[in-house]
Amino acid sequence: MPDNAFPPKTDAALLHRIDTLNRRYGHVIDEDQLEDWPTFFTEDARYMITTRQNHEANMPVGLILCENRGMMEDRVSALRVANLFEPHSYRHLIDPPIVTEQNETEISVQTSFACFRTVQASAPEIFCTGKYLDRIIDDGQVLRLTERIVVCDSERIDTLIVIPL
Amino acid sequence: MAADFDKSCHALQKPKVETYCGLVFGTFAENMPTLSDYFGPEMCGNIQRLLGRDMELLERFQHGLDGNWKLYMENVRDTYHASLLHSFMTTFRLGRLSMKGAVEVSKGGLHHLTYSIRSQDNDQGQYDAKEIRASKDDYTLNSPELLESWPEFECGTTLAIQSLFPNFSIQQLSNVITLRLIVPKGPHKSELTWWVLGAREDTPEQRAIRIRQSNLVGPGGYIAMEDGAVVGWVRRGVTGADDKKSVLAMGGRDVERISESRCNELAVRGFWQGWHGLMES
Repeated sequence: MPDNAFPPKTDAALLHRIDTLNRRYGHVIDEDQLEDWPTFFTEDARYMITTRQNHEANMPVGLILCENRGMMEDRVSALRVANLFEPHSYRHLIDPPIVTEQNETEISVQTSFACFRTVQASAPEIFCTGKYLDRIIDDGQVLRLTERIVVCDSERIDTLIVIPL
Repeated sequence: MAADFDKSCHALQKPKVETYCGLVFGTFAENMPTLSDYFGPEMCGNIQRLLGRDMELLERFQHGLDGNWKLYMENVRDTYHASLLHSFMTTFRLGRLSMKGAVEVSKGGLHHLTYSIRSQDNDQGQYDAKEIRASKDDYTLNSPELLESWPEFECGTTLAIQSLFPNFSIQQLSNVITLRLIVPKGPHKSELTWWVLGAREDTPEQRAIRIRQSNLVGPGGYIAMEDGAVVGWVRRGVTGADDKKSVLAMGGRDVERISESRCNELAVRGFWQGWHGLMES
């Protein structure tokens, strides 16, 4: 495979750190530790769930759109306190990351994922497949997301989406 | 092809198509009135108020529902459930039954419009006293900018839900303007398409407000997500009760507007009266 197949050539240690970030990210969601979910982001980070079709058409509205960490925390508290829905859980399967761009301050990453949803006693179903389009900042110790755009392959969401992807 | 084969006798069925405020409607009914006659003046007034200007599409998505399409269209017309089901809406005073507003139902019952004006709330403490259930006083937002809005309409309307029979709905929730079309996918499945709209005349600040507020609508919307769930719950609840009846008697037996109140069942009753009339004819 030529060197430029997945530009740029990425340091294996960095790839491992990004992969670990993604696995922990999936873990806190799947294990219902949602209060920890916003801590993966910088204070002014943007989080958006959209669909492939809307993303490719540059549509600005998301199925869920948080323009900072406070809005992510609000999503979690609303889920705990305000919104009514049937109890359900996710199981994320997250691919190894692909670094698509890298400079002094920021790393752009694309990662495929699948998310299964289990509603109470029902069988698990494929709720969503898609990709994370991330911008990540490395402060030397911790990697944090400054943007995560969740692009769902299908434009159809079944019943509702309340737990973040 | 045989010489006597007349292609004009075997054409595809042609719908009658008419456009209103940029919305394209089609019907296979042969004796369909014009759209403005079919909707009536009150319904047309609201469509023109919201969409009678150059609009911009901000997003479109599909929403699968686990129930019959009529359950969702009944939910759209039901004025009680917002206070019971959408606690986000009552807690942040986006829509309360105590606000000035009314239910308008078109002649014959098919279409409806319910609206309210946030700045004119006559709440006598019922919400805070939990007489109307779904308000949560201790619940606040870390980022209240989600609810920032601007007075977009001179009439002061901040919430307007409109249904156009059979399967279309137009909604204004603060500054979020959405269209919803529901399509049956079988007796117990349906699919909803949402369109979120802005106006081309919007300033960048107004556009940003609309985009942020759109967190209220759609399958992940703070206020709309429960409607996606409740369709399935009602379907499960009514299974096995085919021979049972429910009563829709609040506000009399007719569909005429009774007062400037939204505590009535005019719109739901109108829907079923109109539906029965069409099914029997």
